[in-house]
Amino acid sequence: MSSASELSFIFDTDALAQIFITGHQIILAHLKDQYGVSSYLMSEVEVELLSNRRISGLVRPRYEKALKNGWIKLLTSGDLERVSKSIGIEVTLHEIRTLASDLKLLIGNGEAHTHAAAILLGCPSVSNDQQAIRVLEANGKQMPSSVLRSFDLFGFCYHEHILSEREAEEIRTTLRGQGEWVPISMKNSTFVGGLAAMACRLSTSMAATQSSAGWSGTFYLQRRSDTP
Amino acid sequence: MSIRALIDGTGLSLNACASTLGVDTQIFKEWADGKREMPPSYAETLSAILGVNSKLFDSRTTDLRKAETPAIWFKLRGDEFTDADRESILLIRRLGHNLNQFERATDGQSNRGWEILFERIRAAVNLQDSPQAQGRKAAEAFRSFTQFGLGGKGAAEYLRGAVRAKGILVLESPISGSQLEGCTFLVGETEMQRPCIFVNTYKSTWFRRNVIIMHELAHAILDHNLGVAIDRIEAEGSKNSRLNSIQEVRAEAFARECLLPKQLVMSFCAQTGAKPTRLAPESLAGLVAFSGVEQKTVVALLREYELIDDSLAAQYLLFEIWEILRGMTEHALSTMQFIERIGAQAAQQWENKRYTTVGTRKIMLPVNYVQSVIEAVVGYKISMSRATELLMIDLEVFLERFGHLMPAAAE
Repeated sequence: MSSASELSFIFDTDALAQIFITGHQIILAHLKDQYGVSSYLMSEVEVELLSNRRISGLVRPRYEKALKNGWIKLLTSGDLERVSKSIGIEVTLHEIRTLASDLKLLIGNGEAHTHAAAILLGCPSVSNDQQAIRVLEANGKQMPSSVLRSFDLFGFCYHEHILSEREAEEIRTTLRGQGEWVPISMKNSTFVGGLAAMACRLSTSMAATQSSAGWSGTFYLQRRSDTP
Repeated sequence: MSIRALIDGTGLSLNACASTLGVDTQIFKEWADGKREMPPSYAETLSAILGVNSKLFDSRTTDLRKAETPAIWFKLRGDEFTDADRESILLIRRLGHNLNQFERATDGQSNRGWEILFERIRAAVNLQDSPQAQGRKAAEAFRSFTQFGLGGKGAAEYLRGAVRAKGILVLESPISGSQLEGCTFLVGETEMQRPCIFVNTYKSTWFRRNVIIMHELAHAILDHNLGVAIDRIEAEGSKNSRLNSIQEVRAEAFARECLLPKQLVMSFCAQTGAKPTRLAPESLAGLVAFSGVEQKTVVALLREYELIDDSLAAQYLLFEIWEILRGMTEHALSTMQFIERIGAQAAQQWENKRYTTVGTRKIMLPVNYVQSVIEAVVGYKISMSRATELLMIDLEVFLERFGHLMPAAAE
């Protein structure tokens, strides 16, 4: 992957919800400013995020702030045109929705659109629903090149000193308290204590690239300060 | 003109539509007023459940002023129907859409066995015959093409399975306080539509519902050009007030001939030694249990077959057979009695696990549908999140009801 191409993460509802629940939406800004990662969501994901009665009251103002500040964007035709040009593959919203309508026979609507966009743009999707990924795999469907979990982002931000140990631990306890998914290794351990066993899928390198281990392999980001 | 106007024409509220789609009401209102574009996947589902073409929601190509109210809502918006009726039908239509999607996911295509069956039955019916003769002929064709009831005993036990095997959606669920007894209409996207039969179980018996299901099936087969048929509960003591049109007489004749043809009555009498003119409450209860047909209809049929006269029919209608019937078939048991019979543990398997939580009303999903969806999740054919959409429940509810059956979540 060329360092000149625009790097995008496509977020699914559950992973994005966790970021907003913890109130650490600023990490999306750090991803953009320090690693050149643009965060996107499909409009189907936005609908799911704001329609979840349990969390929408908490999430809505934080989401709107992130949207207003440009930390995350709804994927539009204009974005696609720009990203397409950058990666050298032309992708349209219609193509994403056509692939999503096939995937959504098997998995949820929001995640179908998230993975469809990630597959066609050749970029990572960020989703916590590993069972949905297994279903796509079991049914021989095309997979995103990389699937990150919200805790891969939290772990990455901890390693990169964007989150302190205290903040990371707060994230874990907040999500546990809300009955949200946390990695098994962190259920009965601290954030830092469980991080190594979680096998974080996001790291840094001298160039933005990914391992050849498939969708669960490590994805490497390049710090902008390291750019030659 | 907007989506709001289209929905207003159906007699539904924006809140009911939003809730059925699982969408925040405020977002839905913005879609409805054209302030925000509805994502195509939601437009597709909404169009399927309302019964309009999904292209109508594409603001670039369509003027919604041209949208007219679909037949089902045109019929249901009358004052005799309640919000509960309309909102329950909305959920049933969502179920129809879901069933199409589920069959595509697991079988590659939706079951359209009903199409050929219906065509063959229609071809067998001479529309110049009397409505009764048309209904009987259609029933004869139905029984012949499906082998339904040809085993010589009451077919009601496997009636639902036989109808569903042809791809017809059969749903029985309570709508309290409703005048709706049964109805049939098409559900699903325009190009994948299928017949749906709905029967209101509120204060109804299994024996009555068997007749209603077959009555509605006849409407689905023979009155397909209407697109919708709705039957209301008859007032207490009325004498076949419903049977005042060719369609209704024909549908009732079909239901009766399917469930209790004369040869079945004679077969019962031959097996039990009962004589139609000398039925005791026990033998009348036996005939109801044997056929799965309610007492009122059984007596009407004995009269129609000229096996009894009017005075005997009136006498048989007064027989108190319910207690006797409870000893003969579990279909006559109340819910509490049934749970007592099968044991609390067995009852827990499905108790309160079939109700939807999405939408402004609740409907009870068919056991076989819920079971198939759960099996598909366990077999990695669909994801849990997809199952929640198909079962119209929240993820929390899904995990509470079925979490113990799910494969361990992978990291």
